[in-house]
Amino acid sequence: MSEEPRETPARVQRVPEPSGVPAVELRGVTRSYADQVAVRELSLRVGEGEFFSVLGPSGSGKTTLLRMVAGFEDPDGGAILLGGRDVVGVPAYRRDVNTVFQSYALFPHLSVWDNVAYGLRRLGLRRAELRTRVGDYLELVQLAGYGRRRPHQLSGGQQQRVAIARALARRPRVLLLDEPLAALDAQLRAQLRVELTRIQREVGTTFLYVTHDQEEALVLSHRLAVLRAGRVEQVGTPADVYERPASRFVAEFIRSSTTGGSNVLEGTVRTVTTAGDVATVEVAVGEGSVLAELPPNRALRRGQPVAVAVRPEKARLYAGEDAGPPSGWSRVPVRLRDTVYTGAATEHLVEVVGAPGALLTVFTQNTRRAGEAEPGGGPVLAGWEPRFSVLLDDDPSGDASSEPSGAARPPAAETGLTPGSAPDPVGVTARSDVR
Amino acid sequence: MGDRDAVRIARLWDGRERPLTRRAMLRSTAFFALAAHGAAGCAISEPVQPRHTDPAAERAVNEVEEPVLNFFNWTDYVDEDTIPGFEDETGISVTYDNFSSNDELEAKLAAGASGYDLIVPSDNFLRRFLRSDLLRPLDHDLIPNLGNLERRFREAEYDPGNRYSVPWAWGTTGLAFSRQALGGADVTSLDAFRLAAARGRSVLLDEARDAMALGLLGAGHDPNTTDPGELEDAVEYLLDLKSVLGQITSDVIEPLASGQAPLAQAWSGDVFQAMETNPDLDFVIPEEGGLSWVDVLCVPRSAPHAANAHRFIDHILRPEVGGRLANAIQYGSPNAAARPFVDEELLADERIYPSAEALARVPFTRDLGPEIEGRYADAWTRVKTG
Amino acid sequence: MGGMTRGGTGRSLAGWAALAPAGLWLGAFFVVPVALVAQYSFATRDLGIARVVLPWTLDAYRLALDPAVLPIFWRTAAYSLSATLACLVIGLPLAWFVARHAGRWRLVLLGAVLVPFWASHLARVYAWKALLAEDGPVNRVLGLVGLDRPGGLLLTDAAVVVGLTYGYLPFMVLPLYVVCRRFDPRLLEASYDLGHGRFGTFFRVVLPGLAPGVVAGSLLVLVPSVGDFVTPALLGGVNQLTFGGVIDDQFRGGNNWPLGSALAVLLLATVAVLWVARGRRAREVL
Repeated sequence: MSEEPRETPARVQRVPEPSGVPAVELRGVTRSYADQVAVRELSLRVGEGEFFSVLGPSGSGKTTLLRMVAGFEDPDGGAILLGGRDVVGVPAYRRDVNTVFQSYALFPHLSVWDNVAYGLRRLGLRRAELRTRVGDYLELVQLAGYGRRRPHQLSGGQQQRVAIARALARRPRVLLLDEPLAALDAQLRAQLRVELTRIQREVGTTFLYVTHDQEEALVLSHRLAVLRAGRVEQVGTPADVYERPASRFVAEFIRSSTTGGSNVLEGTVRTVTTAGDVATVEVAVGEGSVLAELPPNRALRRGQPVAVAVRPEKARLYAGEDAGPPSGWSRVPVRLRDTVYTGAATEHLVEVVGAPGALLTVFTQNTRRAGEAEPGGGPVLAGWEPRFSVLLDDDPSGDASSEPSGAARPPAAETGLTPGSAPDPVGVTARSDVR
Repeated sequence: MGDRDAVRIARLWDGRERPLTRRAMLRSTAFFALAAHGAAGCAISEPVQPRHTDPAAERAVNEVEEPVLNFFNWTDYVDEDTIPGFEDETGISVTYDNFSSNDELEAKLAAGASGYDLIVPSDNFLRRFLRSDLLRPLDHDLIPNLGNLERRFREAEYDPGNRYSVPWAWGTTGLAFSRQALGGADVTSLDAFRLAAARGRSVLLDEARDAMALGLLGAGHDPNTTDPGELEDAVEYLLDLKSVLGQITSDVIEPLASGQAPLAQAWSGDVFQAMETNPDLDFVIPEEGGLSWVDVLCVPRSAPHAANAHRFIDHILRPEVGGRLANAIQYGSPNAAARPFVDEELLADERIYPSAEALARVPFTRDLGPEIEGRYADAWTRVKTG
Repeated sequence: MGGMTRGGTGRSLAGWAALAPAGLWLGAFFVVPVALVAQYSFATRDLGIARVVLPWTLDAYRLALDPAVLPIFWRTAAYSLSATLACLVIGLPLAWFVARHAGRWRLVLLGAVLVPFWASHLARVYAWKALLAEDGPVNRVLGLVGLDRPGGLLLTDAAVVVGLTYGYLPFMVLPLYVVCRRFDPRLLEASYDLGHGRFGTFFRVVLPGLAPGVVAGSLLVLVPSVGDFVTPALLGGVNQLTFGGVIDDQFRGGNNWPLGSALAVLLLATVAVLWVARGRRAREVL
């Protein structure tokens, strides 16, 4: 890949400008199977050179979306534009996109080299050119020297690299990745995640990445879209989506904890105070009060029920005899239910006093030695700055893990691939108690 | 396996009622041949030299002295009164079993002691059994009625002087044809194969001696020739004839009956059977000639009741018994003395009882010895593969 | 390497004992008959009921390898290869459809392919005799478009190939069905995705993917159709004699058992060579 620029700009800097013609654009795309709607009125723009993830639970329509871009299925309505050209009705083999399949779908009868060369056969390359190209891409995925092997002689991770090289070798405008890491074990997954970032950086191709794993989406993407029941729930940078979830669904679906709940607290509006251009709302949750900044376009009445989310690493715990959180912070009396030591952090599961069933997870960085300053079993206060409170939109059915009734799984796309890969994005404790 | 068992199993084989399928060989007969060989033991031995015993010196006696006769005959090949008549008169009880192909008979016989006292092979299998020394010379002292046979059968090429066999019934190998299908033409010679209506549809028997005989006759030679040159002529003739043939098969009844084959070399018995379905059929001895075939009574060497078998042979040679048999099975009777008891209608049918002039053209198939017989077989294979 | 440790010392006496029934079966129904036939092929012909006698000789092989037999060999090869190809052309779409698109009808349809073959082979060949006869339905239908043939289609090369194709179709369909069931349909999407259309995908992905079944099925059709003498004998005419027919001839009528055995040994050797050459991937199915 000598012609590719080697130097790597810092990640934040290279978030592509969403100007110009988008690499992929979906306009009001709808697709249904029998009586079930998999994707409804969905619109999306993916910029040139972007690493864009589509995140959603199984059945949210994300794979259907990908298959429609790839050309394996056509939408019932709407338009799909690749580089500004509507490709609805154009067969897959004439679209300037290539796919990395979750199952790899390597040709078992061909060697690794021939698998990568497969997509180049119709491009009319000269022999030498073909050889160089295949070699380059095998090198890109660090499999130079594996060309003579058969797919079944490779490990899962190696097979997925071949699949990536095979798809990229055609130099498509957009690379589609359908849960490419789902079939791998956790360590390989982490390793390939790093690989994917590097590869995308090196080739600069637009990546459209479908996953149910929110961590993957957060780590890899420039931007991501959260899908729910065939609709886009939120589009934004990982930070946007994580810090400012647009809905309760997003808040509950995007979590970075292995044990924790979604940290959504139900309460009622007590007061709304305006100081300068910042309006602050005080929400009563159990015996505590949660302070949140009120977005300018939102109005709340006194006594109105609202949901507030706070990320576990943003909250802090104060043992009873301490002074408690600074004034102007949320201040919630809680009882400690459980403590989980996870290495870098300790996760505390606490219950809000006066609000049975309302649970919060709070992370404490283990910058101290273990066992030091552990909150005891006594009364504890939880507190955080108002700007970390996220007022969620009124969202009556905000349970991320329930299968949306209107969405269907595409018949063959997601079924039976990897047992155990079905996501369970919300911990059982959190879900049952928050309601 | 005891003799009784063998007989019982033989009966199982013939449990089903079959129409008369004289000589109509099933294609699966290789099975019988192989089974016979397997049963006879796997070791390959030196060729058997037939014992040339003086028939007069060999007295036929029952090894087991009891009034029993085990008789193995073709299916539907007897008069209903033949066996009861014999039993009433002699007090010998007859176990009557049937077979439907010569190969089946051979399989039984080759398996060793079959327990049968009397069998009815066709002349071509008689030759084979004799080569393997499986048959007992007949004791002419016990067959006083032997003189009733027509002269032709007493001096026959297949067994001169009836040393081993007495004929049961006979017929000819000629041409069967459907007059209508051939456009009303009368078939008189082998040229009929060249008729446009017969082209590509006629049938030649898949039997080395019969088919080669047709070739020899067509080339103007003796069907029992031993001259390799004449055999070569016959091969040439048949290879040329092949271009206008439809099929080479011994199963001629079905194609004749269904009308698929308008012309076929055939055994008279098969033709009579096909006529029941297809009345348009006729049978003729071509002017070039044909062959006679005959089914014969013989006594296996292993027969436990050889004397009883001789009594039966003598019984069947009686004029009235032979006449009744001829009327029932409607094949030619070799019994001259029985002629007065044979139906006029049958006697008048030249297809069963050819005229003296025609008889001169249908010799029996002569036993030419292993070397020449082998040459016939190889010649026939060359015709088929060529 | 692994085989040495497993096969050499690992097999216990009980393990060998467990193999005894299979060994007996193989011995009684394969090794002994084949050895017998091989033995016959070196014997001398007998025209009595012994069929084969001493002394040992190579005459049979001299006859079997005679150039006069060559036309029969070519004809047999032409018939069996045509039948195999026809089985493939019919069987592949059939197996693909049944395996991939028949849904819950899959087993019913597979049964429909197989049930006719419970009937005797002979009976089914006779049925074709009726179908192909001059006044049979096939000739009559062909007559509607002026393609009928006086005398019907019987006794022709085509009739033999039709009979063989029909007779051995299930042997093709079953292994093809297995590989079609096993074939990963995502490979089709992968191929389309990589720029190959239906045609290219069929030859570059589908056919190689089904290759084990194609090879296995072809062998299963080819081998018995080479040896089949009933079908050519009943449906073919004077010029349709095949290798199997010649062998059959040598056994029937006591014609020439050593020659028949020699031909059978040669045929067996050919089949063995084909078998060994069938390739690693076909071994997965057959």
